[in-house]
Amino acid sequence: MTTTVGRPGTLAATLADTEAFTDSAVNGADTAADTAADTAADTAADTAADTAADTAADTAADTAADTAADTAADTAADTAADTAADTAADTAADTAADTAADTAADTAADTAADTAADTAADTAADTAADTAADTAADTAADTAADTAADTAADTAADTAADTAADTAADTAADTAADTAADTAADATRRPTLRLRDRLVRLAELAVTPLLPSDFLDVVDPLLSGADLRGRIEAIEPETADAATITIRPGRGWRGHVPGQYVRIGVDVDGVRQWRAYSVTSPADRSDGRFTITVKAIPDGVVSNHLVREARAGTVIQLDQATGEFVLPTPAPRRLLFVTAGSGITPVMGILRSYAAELADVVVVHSAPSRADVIFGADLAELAADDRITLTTIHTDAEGLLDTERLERLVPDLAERETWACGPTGLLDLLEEHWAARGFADRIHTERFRPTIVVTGEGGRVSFTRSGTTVEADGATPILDAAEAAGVLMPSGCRMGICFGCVLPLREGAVRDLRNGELTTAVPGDGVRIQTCISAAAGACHIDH
Amino acid sequence: MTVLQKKADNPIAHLTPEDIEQIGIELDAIRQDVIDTRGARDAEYIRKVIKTQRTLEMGSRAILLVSLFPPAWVVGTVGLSIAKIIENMEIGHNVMHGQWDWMRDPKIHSTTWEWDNASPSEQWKHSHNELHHTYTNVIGKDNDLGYGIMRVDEDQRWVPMHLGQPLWNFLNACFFEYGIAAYDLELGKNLATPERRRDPEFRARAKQVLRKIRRQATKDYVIHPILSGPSFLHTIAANFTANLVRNLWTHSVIMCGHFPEGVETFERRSIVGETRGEWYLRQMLGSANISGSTAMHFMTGNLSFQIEHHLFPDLPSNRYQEIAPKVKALFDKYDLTYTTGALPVQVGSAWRKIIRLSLPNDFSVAALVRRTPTSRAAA
Ligand SMILES: Cc1cc2nc3c(=O)[nH]c(=O)nc-3n(C[C@H](O)[C@H](O)[C@H](O)COP(=O)(O)OP(=O)(O)OC[C@H]3O[C@@H](n4cnc5c(N)ncnc54)[C@H](O)[C@@H]3O)c2cc1C
Ligand code: FES
Repeated sequence: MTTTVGRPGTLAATLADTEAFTDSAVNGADTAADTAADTAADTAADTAADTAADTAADTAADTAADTAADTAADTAADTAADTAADTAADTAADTAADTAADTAADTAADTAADTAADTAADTAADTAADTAADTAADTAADTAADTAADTAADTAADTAADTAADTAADTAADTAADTAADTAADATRRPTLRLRDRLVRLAELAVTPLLPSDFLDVVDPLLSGADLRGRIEAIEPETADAATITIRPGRGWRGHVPGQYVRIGVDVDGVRQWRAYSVTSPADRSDGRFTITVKAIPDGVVSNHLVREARAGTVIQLDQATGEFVLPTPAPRRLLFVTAGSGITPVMGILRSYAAELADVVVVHSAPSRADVIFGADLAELAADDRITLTTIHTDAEGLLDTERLERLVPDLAERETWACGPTGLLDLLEEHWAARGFADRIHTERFRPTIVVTGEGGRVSFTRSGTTVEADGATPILDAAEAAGVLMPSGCRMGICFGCVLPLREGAVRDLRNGELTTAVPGDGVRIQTCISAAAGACHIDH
Repeated sequence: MTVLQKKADNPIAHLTPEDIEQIGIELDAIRQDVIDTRGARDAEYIRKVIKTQRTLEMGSRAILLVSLFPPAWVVGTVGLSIAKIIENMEIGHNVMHGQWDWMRDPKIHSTTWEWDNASPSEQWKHSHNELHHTYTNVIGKDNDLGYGIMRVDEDQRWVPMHLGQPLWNFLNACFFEYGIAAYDLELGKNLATPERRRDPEFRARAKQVLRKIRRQATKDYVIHPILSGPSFLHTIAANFTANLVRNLWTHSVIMCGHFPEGVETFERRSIVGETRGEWYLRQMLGSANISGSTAMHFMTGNLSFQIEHHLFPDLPSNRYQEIAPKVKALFDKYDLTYTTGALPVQVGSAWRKIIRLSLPNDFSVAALVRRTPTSRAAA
């Protein structure tokens, strides 16, 4: 036990140690042995006496029963308590110290404490229970001569072993684990870090079962320590149905590489919806903000909300930026960007960051009409400054871009490393063409549409962890279909009220059998669904 | 339909099977109405409640740092008691019912929520959501009927232990959170035999409960008192009082849900093959409301709309008040009794029942006199 009196930062240190301190003060190894012995002796004596008396009435003499019961109870209780306490304490301390030391060396004190506690508790409990039970049973069996004695011995041994093992193991494990973790942590940490960790630990103890971040959220949802979030600071229209949204990310934001996207969680009609949007601002923006540019699509839940309804000041959920649609270093000398519609967004992010450094850039961008061109002015300016060679195609008047035209526009296409982003049709076309020409590896594409969800009747349901796949029809709850296929499913009322059957839907679509409502999930979502009232409406991946 | 049929004044004798299915259809429509209009307003409501509760709790605990001063003690204790009640009732209970799962916010979700209570949420959800709500008031299936220690219906068999049930009930009220934890662990059953005691699953769950209790107690009785410095003991007293007040309040409210006179209980075999309409009907007759002000409804976690809650346990609690008139109209239309009353009346009614049923059904002084051999000898 690390006592902390007289050390720097003692208030926090003392307080953070308090849990361990109370444990050990109240339930130290001595106390454990005492308590175990007392409890075991009492319980064992009672139980043994009762059982022995009963059995003796039928089989043995009263004396035998008394003696057997007494002896068995005493011996069993003593031995069990001693052995259990000792073994538990030793094993717990050893295991805890080892594990804690190892773990603490490279992880936080928390991890060490957890691991140590778990391992110690398990090992201690097992060993203590085994040893106690064996010893108690042996000793008792020797002393007793007949059925009464056997019964007494068994019962006494069981009870004594249980009680002693529990008390001793718990206490010893807790104390040992705490101490070991503390010591290990102390040994590997600088004092300032230790103080900070202790303050965090203290805060955790003070707000359990919540987390300190739950209370930080009340103060300011963007503080560090809270989940990553952002605040919408401005929404500026780009075209009639597209807008650029400026986001101030919370403290944990690690920035982005131009071309990457960020997943944001927006509450639309009270329901959290996650979508991906490419970052359109340059990477080195000095004020720490970043922008995304959203095009509202017909019936699009999130895009319409962001473009038309969202207001500055709204707090949104954020994920760290990610994505492979980025330029390598060093950047290729000659580049081609083929974009259409909102597909310009990641490319704009790249151009705004690197245009000055890139030597030879061709941009071929399609949009229905002049008014629909997102970033039209920015592109024109880059072209005017000779940073890029720009071709804009207005597809309403000129028709969709085809590869023949592209080859004409960019005669040296074969020598250019190409990045393309736009509707599925365009990207499929380009990939086929590049493959046909034998340089499929020189085109990089970014797709905005998630894997298209088939919302027919029924579908193949796969369970990611157990690896089982089930063919479920559209009228059978996933719960029933999965159980019929031998999957161990959580369940409760089986009628949609208890939520005992809720599992995360990683990808796919399910239909609520009660109202036909469709719930869809794209990779990364993990929408929680009630399997007992949900039927597959297409292929589903369920995390279970 | 076999529910209640054996009662002398069968409250549903006048209903045809078609009526019962029609009730189900009408209730489904009420439910769908709420689901269709569920949205930003509701989300804002629960977030505001959570924010207010956390602010109140932080504020009260801050005031209690100087609980040495009597006014601070009183204000802090009242604030903390209210905060704890809101946390358990309007937030914890309802979130764990999945009432807010539709928001898809992992921080306000039945599968992630943990509450300020001795019973770990996972265990509580099993015994409450799965058992109590599915088998509401079915004798022998719904352990909430007397929590396994009391007799709250004439049809439950009397044993001498029930003589003490007014006392058990009072103690249970004072330490309700531990009562709930013991109940969720099915402690009585699981301690009965060595096999059950040794069952690894039971042990794991017991350990989970002990860990939770230890954390809760460390918070209320060690950490915050130490932070209070010279007010150490005063803060312990304040936190103990807040827990006691919360326990007494939640116990009273919950007792009003199913124990008052007028609430029906059901036989085990009556629910075999139950249809959705019949299930609804059982919820309608097996629950009782509490009438009162909006503030009162809020402090009960809207469990004052116990009937509506039991019909639609997963609808957001802020909507119960809104649909109550429609539900009441349905009761009237089908000539069923919508049991409701003011809190003191319902609490009194529940207590009277508990005291009455602590004695055997046929108990009367005359019967006692007739039965005892001494009195026969004297006669
Ligand atoms: C990596 C990545 C980056 C992205 N970057 C951007 C970006 O910078 N700007 C931007 O505006 N969007 C971007 N998206 C698309 C964005 O994530 C959403 O899919 C889009 O905003 C539509 O969402 P919604 O909620 O409005 O539509 P939903 O309500 O999800 O869909 C409504 C209907 O539209 C269909 N639909 C879905 N997506 C599209 C689409 N792209 N085009 C046409 N129909 C569609 C759906 O199948 C459905 O029928 C990106 C997507 C990905 C995967
Ligand atoms: S098992 Fe009850 S909601 Fe699914």
